[in-house]
Amino acid sequence: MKKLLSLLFVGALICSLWAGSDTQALLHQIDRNLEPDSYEMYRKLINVEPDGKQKEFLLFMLRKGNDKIAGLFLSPPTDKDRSMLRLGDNMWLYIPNVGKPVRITSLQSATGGVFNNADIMRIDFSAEYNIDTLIDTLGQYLFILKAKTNSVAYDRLRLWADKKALLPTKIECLTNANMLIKTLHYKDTKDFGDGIKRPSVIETDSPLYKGYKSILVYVKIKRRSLKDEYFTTTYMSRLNELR
Amino acid sequence: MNYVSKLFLLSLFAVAPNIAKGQDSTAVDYSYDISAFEKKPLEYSASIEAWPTLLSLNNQSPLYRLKYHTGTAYADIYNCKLEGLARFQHRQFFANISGALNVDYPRYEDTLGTQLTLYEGYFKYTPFSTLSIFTGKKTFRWGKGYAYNPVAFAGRPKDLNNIDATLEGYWSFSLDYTKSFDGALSSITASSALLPVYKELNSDFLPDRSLAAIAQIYCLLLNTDIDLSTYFDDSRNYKIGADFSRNVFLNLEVHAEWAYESNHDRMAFDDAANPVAESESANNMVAGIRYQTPFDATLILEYLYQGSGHSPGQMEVMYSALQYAATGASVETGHRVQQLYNAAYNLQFNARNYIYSKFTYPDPFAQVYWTPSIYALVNCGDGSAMVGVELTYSRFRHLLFTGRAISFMGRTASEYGIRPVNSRFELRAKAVF
Repeated sequence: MKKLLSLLFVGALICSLWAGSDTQALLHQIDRNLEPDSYEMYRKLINVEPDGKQKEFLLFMLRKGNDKIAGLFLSPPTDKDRSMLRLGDNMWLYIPNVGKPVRITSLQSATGGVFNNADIMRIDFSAEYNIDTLIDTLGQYLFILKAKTNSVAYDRLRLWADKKALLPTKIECLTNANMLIKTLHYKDTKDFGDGIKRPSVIETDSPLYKGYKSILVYVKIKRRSLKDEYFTTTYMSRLNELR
Repeated sequence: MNYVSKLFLLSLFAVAPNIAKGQDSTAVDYSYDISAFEKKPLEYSASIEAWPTLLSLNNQSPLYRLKYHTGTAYADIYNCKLEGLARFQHRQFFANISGALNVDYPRYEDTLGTQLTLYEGYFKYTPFSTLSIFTGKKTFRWGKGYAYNPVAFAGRPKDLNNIDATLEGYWSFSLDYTKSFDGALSSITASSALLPVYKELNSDFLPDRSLAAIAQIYCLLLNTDIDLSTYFDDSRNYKIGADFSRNVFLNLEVHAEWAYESNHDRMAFDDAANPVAESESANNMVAGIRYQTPFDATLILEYLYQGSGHSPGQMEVMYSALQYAATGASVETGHRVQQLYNAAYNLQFNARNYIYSKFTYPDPFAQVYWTPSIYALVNCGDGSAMVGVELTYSRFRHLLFTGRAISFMGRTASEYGIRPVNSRFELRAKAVF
């Protein structure tokens, strides 16, 4: 009996470990389906006000691995040539007239509106979050994610993903007390070529910015091999040369 | 109001709505023109900024009596700045040029002033991703402080009331080498430059026919930005400096900067209100924090120590010299004293101990694109202060609006109390293309 119980215990442990690694692999696959781990990208960010008025930003982004992201504002003219750099837990903003990078936090917003720097300079969910629970619903997975460290922008995420495509459909960003900060809606799946097929539009709304909406439109994503030196504060003023 | 000021205000109000027109749209447009994203070898941009300024004058100040003879309580000035930038890239070769034309019209003088400034104009060659070689006029923005940068060995002083304004560079030949690593040391950048002074070339940097060299090592070590900087010139003067910046918590950044000058030249007044030149070594430093509040406002707080500034005794002699020039001296003495004040004392801060603070609250109460801020620079020695309030509005694609009110506070014999202006009000409109 003792032997049987031990065998059952070990078997359950192996199953839970396998299931844990399996769910982690699922989340990692969602990350890879969203973005390759080294690429260049063009994105349009649109802030929509309650009265329907809009302001658009155009961004050129580079990413390498899970700790290096650089972004350059191409428009509007008032923001042109501003750049951001994320290196691990460090984030900087470069404003051309100031002429040197300034440390910023992921919770600040370089664009105003619902999006903050963490949304624009996002890295893999699997790099920043542990899976608390995975609920297998009809047609969708629901991941309940908990931030690995205090430096992550949102304490908790509720991520709904299409089971077949393994792509997010909706993400709710929450505080530790489960207060909703914002909701991201993934829409309009598009083939960007080179095996990259993902939602091309992310609409975001927030109870903290009632009536406002921010939208990310993915224009172009291309796999690209990038040098580590491109992700240094020295290169923040030169990102335009890398286009 | 005369012809020039009427024309200025009319153009301001006529142009702005036309640029803002067409920004409205009720349907979200997900479409894009892919050709708009293509990079062109030659890129350029321009901006035009206009701002009327109203000065509330301090008639208790001896400088007021020296400068404004009419007894007026107010003065208005009309400013316009046209800035342009062009850059060209062909493979590893790069060229950049930027500059501005400033026009100002102080109505009390009824004169139109113009100034053309080349900010930067340089060529760059990047044979490898790690190495860049520059030649031409270039800015060197060193340091981590917001209000003060002791390690800016080849930099010009910032305008604390317009901290994002473009600064003019110096003619130089320079190199940058950058290398990234895995591990605690993430990256290193070594920069160096030679700055010659010959006739008009860098004439405001050092005496004619001089040569200076600057060098800096930057590293990102254990999530901390660290710089070590140095300066030498052919008169055997040298400066050394260091600075760092680090996030100690997600919402709290700390920074500090220190520099030692072997020989700082300074002009001051003697007891007879005559100019006297001094030279001594000095330590300068700044230390501060940047804190982000739970409601996303930012507070910057810094302590500034300017060892190369005027001592309290020298500041007292200056106040006496100005009083003498304004009340009992000859016209010639008055001009001489005013000139020396403008050259040696009319700086953002010219004494030794200060506190700087700035509070910025972007998108207050979810009102997107509005950014109010308040800032102050306090002279710890005499308690006088320069205090400013600012509001910017950045809703439009091509337009930026800024309203600013600055006040100079303190008793007459104090650094900011002696200024000929009590308050200054500006309303800026900037169109960017």
